[in-house]
Amino acid sequence: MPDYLTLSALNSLIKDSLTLAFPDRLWVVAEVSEARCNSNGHCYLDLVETSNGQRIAQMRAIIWAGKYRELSKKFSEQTGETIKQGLSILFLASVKFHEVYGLSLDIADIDPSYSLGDLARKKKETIERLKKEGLWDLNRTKDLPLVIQSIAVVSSPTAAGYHDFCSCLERNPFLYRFRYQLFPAAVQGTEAVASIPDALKQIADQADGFDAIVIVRGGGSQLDLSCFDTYEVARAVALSPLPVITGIGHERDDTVSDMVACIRQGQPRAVAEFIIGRARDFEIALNDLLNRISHTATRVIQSQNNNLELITTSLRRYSTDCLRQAGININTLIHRIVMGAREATGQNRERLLQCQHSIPLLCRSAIASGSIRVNYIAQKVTNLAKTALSDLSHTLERIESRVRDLDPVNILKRGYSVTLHNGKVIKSVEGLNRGDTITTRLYQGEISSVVESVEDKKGE
Amino acid sequence: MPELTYKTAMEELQNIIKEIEQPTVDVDVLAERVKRATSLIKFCKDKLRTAEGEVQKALGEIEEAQGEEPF
Repeated sequence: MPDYLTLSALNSLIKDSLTLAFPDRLWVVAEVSEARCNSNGHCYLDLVETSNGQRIAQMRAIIWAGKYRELSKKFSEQTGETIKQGLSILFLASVKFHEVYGLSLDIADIDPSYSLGDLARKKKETIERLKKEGLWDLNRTKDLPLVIQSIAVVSSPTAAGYHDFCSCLERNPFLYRFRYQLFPAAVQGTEAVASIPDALKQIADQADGFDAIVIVRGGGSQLDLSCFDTYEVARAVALSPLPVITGIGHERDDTVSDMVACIRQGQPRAVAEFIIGRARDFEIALNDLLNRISHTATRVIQSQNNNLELITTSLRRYSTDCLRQAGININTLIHRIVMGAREATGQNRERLLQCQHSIPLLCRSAIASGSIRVNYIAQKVTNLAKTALSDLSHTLERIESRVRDLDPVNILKRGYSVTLHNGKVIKSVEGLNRGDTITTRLYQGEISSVVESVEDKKGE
Repeated sequence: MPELTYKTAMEELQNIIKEIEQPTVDVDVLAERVKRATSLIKFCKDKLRTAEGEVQKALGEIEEAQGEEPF
């Protein structure tokens, strides 16, 4: 069986070694991951160190009740903070080992100025990173709607600031109606770092339904608000598709989220007042427009009425003038017509007399020239008739001679004869037979003969 | 007709003001514009005091009123 130690003997050895190794107190930097006080007033801390989000060291620590009262007073006087979760602290501690409770640090002093500087440094880093990534002005430069009436609220349903905001909106003296929907989120501590971006993401998915986003929480210590200084929360604010209005804590606390938001108000109540004021400004602008419109309309109508009166007056004057002038013109015309008529009548009478005189003369001369023409035509007709008669008698003589030539007697006279059979002239032997009696008529006298033979010489 | 918003209503009102403040404005045009402007202002004022669901209803009434009632 090998040599062995009891556990208490081992722990005693460890304790002695550590006491030898860490004879003096040391200044150490660590982040508080948890802090709790028990009923005796002792403060128990979990201290950590992280690198790139990974926890690389962890240790328990204790501040005894008497020391804690002293240190926490000093700390809050200088930083406005209590010693709590999320805070980086520089503390003076001795390494202690207890046989039952194990290793822990016994804190004897804390330097508050380190915590202040650390917060400021972290904040500065966040600001620089947001600027470098081009996120800084994204939300700041968004156009805020003229009237913010549909509001997405990011807050904790139990936060006093949320209820302040709601009641202030609802009790607005102008009776404006606002619609707001809560997107619950933790608004303090490490939980908020994930929870606020989640809520903002939900809102972004239904951005059409809202005019703006409001992030509110009541006042708290600087550390309470330090989640709003984180890169994660500020980035989510900057990237929100809707303008963000912040009402985080008190007037003097300006977190990075406030800086990247479109509008930064101090307290939740101030956000509600801002929103009401904006609606009020809009309504005042409407009233001004209404006044201007009614003023303009009145002025235009007044000036139109004046014009109308002016026109009526001058129309009346003008028409009277016109009538008078027309009267004068008519009289002149009547006069001229009468004169003209008289003159015309006189002229016509003269022309009538002239006509009376000239018509017989004209007739006589027409008759004279007509009779000359008649004589000429009669002469011409007589001549034509004579020529025609002479032509006619010549033609008649020619016809007579021809007619004379055609008389069969004349033909017979020249020695031709005509043969008849049964009283009919025959031109061929057809129908003639031997023994038939035929008569031959000559110029003088007739011969009766009997046919002895018939010789057909047809076609000869 | 695009949806009427505070922004579009305000823009239209500004244009109307610009138009009717011209010295050469015609009285008939003026009457028509004034009518439109007052209904736009009424729309905005009603909308400020109306919950979301009621806005569309109010809008409908304005459009209706514009249709039936000659100036």
